[in-house]
Formats: sequence, structure tokens, C-alpha cells
Amino acid sequence: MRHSLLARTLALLWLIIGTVITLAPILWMLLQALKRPIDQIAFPPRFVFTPTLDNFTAVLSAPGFRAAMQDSLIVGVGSVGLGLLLGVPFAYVLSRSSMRGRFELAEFILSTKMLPAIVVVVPLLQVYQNLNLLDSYTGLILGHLLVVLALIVWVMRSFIDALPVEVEEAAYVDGASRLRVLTHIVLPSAVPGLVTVSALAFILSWNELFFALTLTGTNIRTLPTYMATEYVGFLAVDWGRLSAAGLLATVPVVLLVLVLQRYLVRGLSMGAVK
Amino acid sequence: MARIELRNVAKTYGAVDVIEGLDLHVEDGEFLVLLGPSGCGKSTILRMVAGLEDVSGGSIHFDDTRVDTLPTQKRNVAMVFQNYALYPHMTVARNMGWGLGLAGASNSEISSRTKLAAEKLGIYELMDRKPAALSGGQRQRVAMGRSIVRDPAAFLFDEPLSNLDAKLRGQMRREIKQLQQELGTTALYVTHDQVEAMTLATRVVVLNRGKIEQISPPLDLYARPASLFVADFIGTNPMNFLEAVVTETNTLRTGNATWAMPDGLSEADRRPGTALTLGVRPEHILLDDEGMLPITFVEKLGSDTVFRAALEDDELMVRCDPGLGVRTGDRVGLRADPAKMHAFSPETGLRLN
Repeated sequence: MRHSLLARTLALLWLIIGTVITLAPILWMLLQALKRPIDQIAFPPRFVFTPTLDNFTAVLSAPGFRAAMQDSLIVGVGSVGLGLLLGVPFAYVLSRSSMRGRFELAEFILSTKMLPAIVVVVPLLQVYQNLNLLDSYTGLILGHLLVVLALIVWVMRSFIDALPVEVEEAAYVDGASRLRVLTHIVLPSAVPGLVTVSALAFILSWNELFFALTLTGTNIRTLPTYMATEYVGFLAVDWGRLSAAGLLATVPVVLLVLVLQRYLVRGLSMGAVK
Repeated sequence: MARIELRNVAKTYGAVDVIEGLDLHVEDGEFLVLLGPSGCGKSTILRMVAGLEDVSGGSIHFDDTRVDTLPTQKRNVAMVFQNYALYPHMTVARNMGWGLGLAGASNSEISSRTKLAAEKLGIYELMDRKPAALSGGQRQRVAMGRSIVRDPAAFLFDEPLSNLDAKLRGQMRREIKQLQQELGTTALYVTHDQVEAMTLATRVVVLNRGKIEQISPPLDLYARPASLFVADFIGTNPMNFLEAVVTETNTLRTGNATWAMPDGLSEADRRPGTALTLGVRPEHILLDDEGMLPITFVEKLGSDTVFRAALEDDELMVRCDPGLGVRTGDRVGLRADPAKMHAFSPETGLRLN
């Protein structure tokens, strides 16, 4: 369809406004990261200044930052991996079984996301204390599992719902067990869904601050905790380094999405049925 | 290959009885077609034989083995689905050979048997393609190939041709028939298409609301329908039904028209005053030159012409030779061959002659 010039101009304008609103904080962060301390606090803000990479080199050479990135990676991979291991079979059963109460169960899982994190974290803190899980990888991975599991179950359930059940029935007729059908038929067809939900869940864990701040201390510091404690002081905030660290922290996520992009397109299940 | 036997099989979903007390025998090597309108329970029966649905009562046997207690995997049946249900991430060769691999066949056996099946179905050059790169007819052939490589106890077809266009459907129908005759494997075939049923079956089971209306060879179904339902369901042009009363002169009266007495009626049914439902197929009505019935509607189909003639309260559909050149508004006389007339009980709907 051919739209009028006015309509196209308005659409373009709208896109530009949307992009600016979305990207403005990141742009501001980039500017701050490239400024010397004296330029950072100048008011009105300076848009013309002598750029410096001091902030980036300082952040990158800090051992704490590299350790935090490693911790974030471990917790992210751990919680997503565990989440998939538990959540995918869960989603499969919710989607395919005719068990009574499966809808209620699915809704219960989702309802855990309706609670404010603080309601969950206070009792959790006590439990963790007794189980000696505080400030450990296991502890935070389990904590983040609470954050990502509902997402994994719900996304995968609707994804599996959309796969034609006859393909699985054909596999049963071919002699495959239920587990084999899950691993050899359902999962390969669900790769786009798995990739999408893994990426989303990883980002959730990567950015999570509240559980990390509460459940860990000195042994483990994920990136959000590191940034919130290292560059934010009682009286002052080190804007330059905080901004540089923030930008650097987004790099792995951006890379992840770029690498996985081709899987994020649905369509692998096309061709199974008419 | 096996004989399939359903004994008093029932299926209920909650409080709804879908199938009650169904008895059915499929002889070894037979091509049995389950025919009926949608919702008649035909697919449910097939799925119970396959083990994809549990039976709520009764039992299913392959030869002398009871199978309704066995899981699908142990029944050694092959099934072709309406939407083909190919494994989307596997090549054609893998699609066909996967089940053999599960059964423990060696790689060389798998490749030789899939090759044989693929050649038989004319899809050998497609072996490395994935389902997404195939046309509907090719997918259907792969689904067939997946069934025949395994040498199953029975083929189960669940409306396998419904998603194909008319021309391809006719071709696949012939191929399925030839393949089954060649292999001699027992086949159970579900369809709502009477043409498929008539052309494929050794016997047809007509189902209505979970009950068997009639089990017969295809031609008997057409020539001697056991009930009003079957009479109405079978036949390209629907049968004409008229409410009739037996007269004193051993004829039938429908409104102001008089018909010859159908052959084969019992003495009791021929008593004057008896009410019955008369059935005549459009192709079995004969034209007389002289007559009073006005033609209200004419459809010229090329191979033949179908027209409607008005009776007092009813309309008759008649099929005739296109050479007769009938036109709307013409008046004709009609009669029927007593040997090709059907009489049904108005109360039970069952055949009387």
C-alpha cells in the first residue's frame, strides 16, 4: 500500500522520537564515560569536550570488575541452565498432559512473579542463613532460578502448544518413548523458542540487582552489585567510571543477542504439517 | 500383518458417550474404510486402535493378542495423518528410517529399506530434503514411506488425502490402493469422502454418532443401503425421499403421485394403509414422454443433466441423459424401476425391502 507523503513523514518522525527516547540514556552514559571528571559535573552539561578513555581503562584494569563479570556469567549461565532443565519438561507436561489442575499449576507459577521481590527475599534470607547458602554461587543461582523459572515455563509452554501434536503422535507410533519424543522431536522443533527464552532469562539474571545485593556479600559480586557498591559512595558518585562500567556490562548481552539472532526467528517447525 | 478385532469397545469423554459397544472385525489383508460425517467417532476408533486414545470399555485384539493394554509403541502399527506429521528437522531419509532405528535395525538395513520404499513411492531423489522443501503430495508420499518401511501389523490412515487438491487426491488414492494390494497389509482407513470409501475399500463401515449403520462392500452400500442415514449419505446426487402410503391397488401413493410397489417388501409391509418412506436415486428415475410434472430447475453438468421436478408437496431430483434437452418449464412424466426402489420404516429408519 502506498501512503501519502504526510503519513510517511509522520511515521518517520515517530520512529525518530521513539529511538531518541530509547537511546538517550545510553547516549548520555556514553558521553559521561568519555568525559574527564571536571566535564562530568559541569552544568549546563557540555556536549563539546576533549574525550578520554581513562574511565574505560580504569574499569577494565580493576580486578573487581573482571571478577564481577565472571560472577555474573556463572550465575547467569547456571540459573538459565537449571531453569531450562526444570522448566522445559515442566512446560512440556503442562502443554501436553490432560492432568487435572495443570492450568491452576501454571497460573500458580506465574503468580510468583506478582509478588514484590522483597516479600520473597526476606524469608529467603533466613532460609539461606540456615542452609548456609548466603554469599555462594549455589545460593544466588537458586535465587535467580526463582526469577527466571516462571518466564521459561510460560514462554516454552505457549511455544510447545503451537507445535503440532500429530508429529509427536507419529513418533509414538514409530516406537519412540515419551522422553525420546521430548529430546528428539520436541526440543529440536522448539530450538527457536529455547533460544529466545534463554536469551531473555539470561538478561533477567544478568541485570538482577535486588536478590544479588541481598543474598551475596564479599565472595560473590555480580555486575549490578559491583557497580552499585564500587562507584556509588555515601557522598559522591563516580559518574565516569560508573557509566563506563555500565556500557561494558551491556557488551556481553548485545553480543549474545547478535549471535543468537538467526535462531530468534521462528520457522523451524514449518514443513512438518500443512 | 494381522486381523484386527474390536470387542464391545466404548469411549467416553467425561459424561459424553462417543462410542458405545462397538464390535468390528478387520480381516487380515483387508482394506476397511470407516466412513461417516465429522463427529461420528471414526477418528476416535482409529486412534484407539493406534493406542493414541485409551478405550473406556471393551478390548482390541490383533490376531490373538490383546493390544488395548499395550502402549502405542508396542503395537507395531503405522499411521498416516491428515497433516502428514513429518519430523520437521529431519531429512526425508531420516523421517522414514527413524522408526527402524528405534526398533534396533542396523544402519545398512535402514538405508536399504528406506531406499526400497522411496523408490516404490518415487521420492528417491528427495531423500536429502527436509519436509519444508517438499510439496503437499511429496510430503504425503514421505508419510506413506515412513509407514511402509516398517512392515507394520496394520496401516492406519486418518483422512490422509484431505489436504490435497482434487487431482492429486485421485492419483494418491490409486497409489494407496495399489500399494496396499501389493503389500497385502491390513488397512484401516478413516474418511468422510464417500468416493474414497467406494474406490478403496473391500468393505465400508458407515458410522453415525458412534454407532455402526452398515458394514458392506462398497457396491452393496449403494445398491442396498441399510438405513435412511446410509441412503442419504452414499451417492453423488442425494437420494429422493418421499413419505408414501400403500394403496388398495398394491401401489404407493405420495401426495398426488402413484408409484409401483418396490420389490422385496414383506407381506405385512404391503398391507393397504401402511406408511413407509420411499427412496429413489436420481439416476434410477425414468422419464415418460407424457406427464404433468413441471421442471423447476435444470443443471447441465456435461456428462449428464440433473433437474428438479415439482410434486404436490415435494421436489424430485432426477438425473438424465443430456441429449434429452430438458428445459425449465417442460412437463414430464416420471416412474421408477421397482427393483431399484428403496423402502424404509418411517419409525426406525431401517430398510424394509
